[in-house]
Amino acid sequence: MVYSKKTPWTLIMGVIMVAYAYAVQSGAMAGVIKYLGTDRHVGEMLTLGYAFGGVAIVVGLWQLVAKSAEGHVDYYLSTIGGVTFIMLVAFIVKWGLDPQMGQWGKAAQSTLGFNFASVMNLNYVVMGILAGIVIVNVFKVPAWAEHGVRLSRLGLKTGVILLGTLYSLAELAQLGKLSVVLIGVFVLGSVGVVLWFGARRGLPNSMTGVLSAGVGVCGVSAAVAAAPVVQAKSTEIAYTIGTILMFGVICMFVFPIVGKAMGMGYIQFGAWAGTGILNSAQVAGAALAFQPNGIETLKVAEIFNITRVLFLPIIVLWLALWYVKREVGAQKVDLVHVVTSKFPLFVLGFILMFALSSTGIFAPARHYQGSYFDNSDKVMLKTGKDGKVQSKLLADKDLDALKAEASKVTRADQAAALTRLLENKKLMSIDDDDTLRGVVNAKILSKAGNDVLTKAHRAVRHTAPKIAMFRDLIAWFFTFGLVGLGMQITMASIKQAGGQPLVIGSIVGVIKAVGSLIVVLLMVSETI
Amino acid sequence: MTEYSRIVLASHGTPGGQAAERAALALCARGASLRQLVVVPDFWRGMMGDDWLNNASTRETYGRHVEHQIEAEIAVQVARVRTKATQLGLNYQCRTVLGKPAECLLAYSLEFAPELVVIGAPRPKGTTGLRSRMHLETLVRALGARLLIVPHP
Amino acid sequence: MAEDKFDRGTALTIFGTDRHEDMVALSLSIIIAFLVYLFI
Repeated sequence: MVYSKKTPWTLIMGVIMVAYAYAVQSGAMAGVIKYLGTDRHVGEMLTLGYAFGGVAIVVGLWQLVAKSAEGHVDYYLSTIGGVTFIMLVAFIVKWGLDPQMGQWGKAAQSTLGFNFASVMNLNYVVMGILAGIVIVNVFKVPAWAEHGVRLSRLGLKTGVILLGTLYSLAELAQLGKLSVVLIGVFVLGSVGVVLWFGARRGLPNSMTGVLSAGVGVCGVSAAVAAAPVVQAKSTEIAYTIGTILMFGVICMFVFPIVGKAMGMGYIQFGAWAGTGILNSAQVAGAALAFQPNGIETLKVAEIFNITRVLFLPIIVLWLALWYVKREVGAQKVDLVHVVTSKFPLFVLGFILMFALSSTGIFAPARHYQGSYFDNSDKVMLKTGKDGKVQSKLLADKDLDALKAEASKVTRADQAAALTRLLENKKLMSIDDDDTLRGVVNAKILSKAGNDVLTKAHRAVRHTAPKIAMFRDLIAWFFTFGLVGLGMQITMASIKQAGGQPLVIGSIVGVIKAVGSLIVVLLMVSETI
Repeated sequence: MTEYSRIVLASHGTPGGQAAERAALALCARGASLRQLVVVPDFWRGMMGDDWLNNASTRETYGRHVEHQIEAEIAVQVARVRTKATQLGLNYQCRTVLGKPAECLLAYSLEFAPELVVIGAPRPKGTTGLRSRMHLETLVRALGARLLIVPHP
Repeated sequence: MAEDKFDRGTALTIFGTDRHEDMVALSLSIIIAFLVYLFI
């Protein structure tokens, strides 16, 4: 079978991308960029525009002119059309629609009384997924792009593996512990609740089984894993998957809105989304929707996601044993087979990247959330283009503000660190920095005092350029994956939500979302 | 009552479909050809667990399970019609296809050229069931045969 | 049933198995990490 389609579209998209990049480079787009305020994206507009556009032009021409023969070359090149398609959608959304929506939101603020773009999180991640959903449901994915859309999962997996570079050991240990506790309680809890509900309402075991996995663990992938084990009927599967998909899409939009409204921090929101959202695919979406220009939330949410996947085999085994006990003639399960076939190998890749990163080759080894400590004069005193020296040392008025409140700090180590800061006008060590972060978090000083401490903290914390690069790349991989994933959500399947699974799924889904929200707010503080 | 010698029956055994089955059997002339078309709705394509954490072996097992399950469920429905059709001495055959109901029915009608097509009415509001409606407008516009819609029982 | 469209891979992925996909994702990540290490 020959996969390449004769279509001019790959070529056309490539030309559009290169033309756009050229327009940006030549300054023809300067007005637009200034209007939209997208100057910080100029670098990636050029690189990505030329890179993807160039490849698309070459491959598009080749596919148009040459006759493709069956084989590897044809097979892998045929994905380029779809990849270019997704990237074009992502470009339009990230560099055009996202800032434009921001402008409209500001413009409508006086009439509406609120900024709809920021309240509804109409950023590029949300709109990219929406674009995917609209394309597949309204226009249909064009035939020449279908093949490339199947690469979206590779994009997500690569994103997750690369994400491993961003954690420090302390972070990973703490997040890991937290996620095991939260996921353990809520996953096992909701599976148990559904099983109990099902028994009470006299539902067939097969329906209860598939629903409990879907609602409890990671949504569609769990329902799919459990369906054969509990021998679910076709309508039961359709009802359950429809319910989960519907819930997932709703959650992806509602969670960030609620999170912002409640003023949640990155770690809190990541933990909540990672626990409360039924479908794992939407967790990454919600995390990026909450914080589109940074990656802290995604980092937390993905740890939860990974923990969830690791819980999947346990649940499948539990359901299998549960089903065998209740139904005569049910197949026995092979424990080893379940565990090995369900183990996600890319998680090992994540760990490998983490290990590489902990050796300190991408950033100084003691980095925390991607930043490292440096207070040498080289970074504290920078000479600007005009020859003036810009100092990051604390100014006299900052020092006065701190001195006025210094007596509020009573703990010996904190007082000592503060004194050293006052004497040197800068933080002297990473330990001092950590200690004084504790002062800020405990809200010992007034807001003005805290602002000065935060300023001192920012002056000595630097993001390693390699880590910054990884962040950008990861964000792009996730964007690519999520737009492609949006293209796999069809309304026809969501519409199948119905019957008892809809009722029970909604009840348990809401309990889980609200319950995890409460627990996260009570248990998780921002500093972890 | 007019009797027909070539009838296409579209039913996958819902209550409405079963009403259509009865009507179709009653309308067949002696020795008539009755063709049953079972459409597996294409929303199943979106139900294959295309989730990024799902892995291919799980998906395969799942796909096989869904396929067997649907086949088994259809087989029960088909067996019922087949038994009755055989008793009446009809020439009965059944075909299962994946797609949108109206489009599949049109395609099959074009191929078989029936005198009459029998379908069941959509189920009343409020009853649960899968959402995959026969799109009547598409069907009626292009169907070259008479169409009988049997009321929901 | 729904698989007649592709004779390689599934609707999920262009690769034959997950292991294959995972390995490609891993190699891709390592290549990227290496490039970042060298050039950034």
